[in-house]
Amino acid sequence: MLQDHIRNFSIIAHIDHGKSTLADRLLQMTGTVSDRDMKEQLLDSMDLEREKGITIKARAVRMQYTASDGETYELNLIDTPGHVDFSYEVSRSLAACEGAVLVVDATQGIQAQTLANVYLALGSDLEIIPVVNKIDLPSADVAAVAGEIERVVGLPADDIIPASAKTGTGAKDVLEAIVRRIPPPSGQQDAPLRALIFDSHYDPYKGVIAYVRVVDGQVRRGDRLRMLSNDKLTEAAELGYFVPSLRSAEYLGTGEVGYIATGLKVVVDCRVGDTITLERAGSAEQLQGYQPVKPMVFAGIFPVNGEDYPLLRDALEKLTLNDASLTYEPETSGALGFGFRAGFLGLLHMEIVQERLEREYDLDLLTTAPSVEYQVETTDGKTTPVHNPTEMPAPQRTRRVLEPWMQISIVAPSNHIGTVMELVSKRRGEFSKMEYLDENRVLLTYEIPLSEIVSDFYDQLKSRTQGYASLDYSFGEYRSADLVKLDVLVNAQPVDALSLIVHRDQAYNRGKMLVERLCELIPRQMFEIPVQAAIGQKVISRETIRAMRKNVISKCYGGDITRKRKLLEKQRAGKARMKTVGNVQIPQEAFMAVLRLDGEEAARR
Amino acid sequence: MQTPASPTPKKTDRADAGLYVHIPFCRTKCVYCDFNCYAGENHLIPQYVAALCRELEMYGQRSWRATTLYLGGGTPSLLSAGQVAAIVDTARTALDFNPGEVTLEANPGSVNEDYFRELLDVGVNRVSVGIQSFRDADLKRLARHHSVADAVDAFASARAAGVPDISLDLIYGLPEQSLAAWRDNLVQAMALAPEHVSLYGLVVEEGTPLARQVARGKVSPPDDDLMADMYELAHEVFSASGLVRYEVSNWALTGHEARHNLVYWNNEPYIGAGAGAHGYLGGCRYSNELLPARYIRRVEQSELSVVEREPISHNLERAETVILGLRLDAGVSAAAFHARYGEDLVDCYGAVISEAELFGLLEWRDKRLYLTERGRLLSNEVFQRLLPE
Repeated sequence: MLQDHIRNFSIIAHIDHGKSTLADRLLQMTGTVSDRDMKEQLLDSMDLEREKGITIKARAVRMQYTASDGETYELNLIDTPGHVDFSYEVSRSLAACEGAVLVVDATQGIQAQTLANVYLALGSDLEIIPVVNKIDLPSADVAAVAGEIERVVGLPADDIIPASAKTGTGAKDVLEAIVRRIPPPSGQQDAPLRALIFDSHYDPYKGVIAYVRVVDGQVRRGDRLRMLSNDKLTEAAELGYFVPSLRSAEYLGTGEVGYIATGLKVVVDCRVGDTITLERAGSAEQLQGYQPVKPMVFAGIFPVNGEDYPLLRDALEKLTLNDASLTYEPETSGALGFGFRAGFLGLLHMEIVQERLEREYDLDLLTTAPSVEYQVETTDGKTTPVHNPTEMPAPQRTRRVLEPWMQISIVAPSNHIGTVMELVSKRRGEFSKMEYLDENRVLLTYEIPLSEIVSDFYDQLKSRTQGYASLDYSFGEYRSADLVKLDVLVNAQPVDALSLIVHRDQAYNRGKMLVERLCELIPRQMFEIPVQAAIGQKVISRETIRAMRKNVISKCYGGDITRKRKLLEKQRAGKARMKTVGNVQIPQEAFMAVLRLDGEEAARR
Repeated sequence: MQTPASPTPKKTDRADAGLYVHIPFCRTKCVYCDFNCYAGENHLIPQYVAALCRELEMYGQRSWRATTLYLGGGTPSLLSAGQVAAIVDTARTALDFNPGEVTLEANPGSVNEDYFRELLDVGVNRVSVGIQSFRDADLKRLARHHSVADAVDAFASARAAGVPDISLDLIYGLPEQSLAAWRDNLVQAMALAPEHVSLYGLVVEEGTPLARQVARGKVSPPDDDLMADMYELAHEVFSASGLVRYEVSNWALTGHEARHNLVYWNNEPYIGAGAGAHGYLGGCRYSNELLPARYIRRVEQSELSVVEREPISHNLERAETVILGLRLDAGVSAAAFHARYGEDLVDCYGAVISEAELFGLLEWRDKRLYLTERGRLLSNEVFQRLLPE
């Protein structure tokens, strides 16, 4: 395909605003997928993606479209992950495009994450085609949303395409706009190969498959390749494009989007954002914007049954083949035994990994409350990253503790400003600014410690705004803070997996709530169990779980014997699922108790 | 392994078993009830009794001998004395049942003195009255259709008719029931001077209307501590009236213990006859077809109506013997255990026993193993550990 007949674009949209449906329509209208093979959310192939209605892995598809000018164009749609946890991946996908279709729900308006992604796209100099979707809904307010797009994003209302991806209205206009408004790729055909990796996945037969945009030059099957970030050498055993499944080809030309089967064994060697060039006479110049991703959130993952440890290790190994942003290292907990401390991009990423481990590898897992990476300066002058409260050095050895702060933006209905403000200030957040998007909606910007949003911040935000608020965040800086380690003792035994790091001002409250919550979650046992929260040696809160007095089958006649035996077996199985710490059986939910502290408090009010 | 379909004892002479006969008919269904019983099918009773007799004959052909007879339900007192007579007589002729203990569960509201006289004439010598509570509000909440007056009446009628053994059923842990209300209940029960009392701690069984009410938050579930207090209070009150506890939830004047129920607790064989009845014969627990109409059809075709059977392994039987035996105040005798299984009780369960002793749940006295007072209320904790993996 001639370079000036290629158009590379992605679609930016908030969850449920219709990105996948619009993609489905474009695939149908260009005849890329026959009506017979059409299924909803065609590009989202993971079960989790379909269930959650989100895109987790980036994907691409090539379409042939004959425009009204009579010419046939090659349109490459790069479908990007829709969640803030994956904003780096989004930025790389956008970098592989010259344009983006911005889809906004005509009944809901622009949301925080959309805005963040639009700014990313504008920053990469992308041509943006605004589309107001769902105009078929009775509550659609096209004019208001168009006005909002004009004001907030600065796109003229005249350029906005009204559409209904569901019915197909406007889809043709979107295709025409892609051809007319988005510029063709501008790379140098005769320069040495530079291909941008915007995603990769591991294939058991072909090794790591890199999803690439050829920026300069071209790549042929059999070419010897070099990864610029790590000098790994490999060969283009197979390459081709997406239909959306893989279709092999002889070469990929300048400006084209496709895949290269690299034969590499792990995706870590083929990182998103890296540049592929030729081994000989290649380019030495890395494409801009590459950065190795860093996990932000850490949690312990333990098998409920200790004997599943090797299975968990294998499962994590396999997942990291495909997920370069997941890190893990072995962790031993006095309470939970052998497991791993894993690092994630964010909470959604953590949830996805946990669900995939449980579903795809059939593991029963216990995940501890998430933590962040603290930088601890010790009295010997060293600075160490701490991912796990139990690794926190003793207070007398600690000179200073630094914690990560985030910049967050929240879009919320203006009548909820008060409650959002209250939530953020309770979580030590600092107000930066407030902008009205229209008379009813505001964009609030804050700085806030990451540790305060990794618990149930998003849930709280949603419940306080009746589900209307949206949230975006990005890393800001490390700041020093007066943090202490809060330990929990159950029956006088410290339970390491329940330790947490809190701000000194919150320690008393958190300790009290945690202890109360644990007393509700830990079932009564045959003896009295004191539950305490302590900072160092000092107990700051204490409650007692009274001894169980009654666990009896009151009557047991002929017809009851088998049934009651099953009941006993069920009780016993329930106990087996708990973790025994000292001689106390602790149910799994207790290890996540700390996550729900504020939720509890809110429920009680 | 013998199956209950052919539970023929090895020897030519008959083997002993308790006989439980289920009468699955009720006028209405109670709110906590998860038994096999049906309201509005009383027209089936004559056919049903005929089928029961046929079934007893089939067990007779398999050379069982009935040692006790218990008519439970449902509401056995919906049967006429003539129908009860047919069952008792068939047990005698077919199952070599020598006039022993014959119990019938009677529900207040469906009985009077004449009825009890007729029952005595046909061989019933023990009546269990399902009073449940001496407070009308409780009865109403449980959707029992009798009143306290009906219950007291039923008891008095049985007494006046001369029934020698009367047992009362009481439920504790009812929604909204206070300890004071429970005490009042106990006092009223003792005023009737029953020979025997059975306690039933309310359990919210899945699938019952009560469970739905609890799930919807309309009724608060029974509180464990309060129920423990209620149990202890009951024991205190019964003991003061001369009733002796012989099983975790049963009290009797000495010599008036329920012999039929002792068959269960001694883990001995019993025949389960009738729709939904459970039996334990030839090392196998089994249960019958639940629906009365289907039960009748199957028995009319001269087959036992067994639908489920579970062979009990040696290890499980041993464990059940200990679990059921510990429910008895007589405890488990190490010597009797050895005589029955040729194994030493401590060799089999030493670890569990010592752990339970440590927690104060079990104790040894004169080479017998007993639940402690605390252990009675926490017996599940012991029993869970006794069950084989």
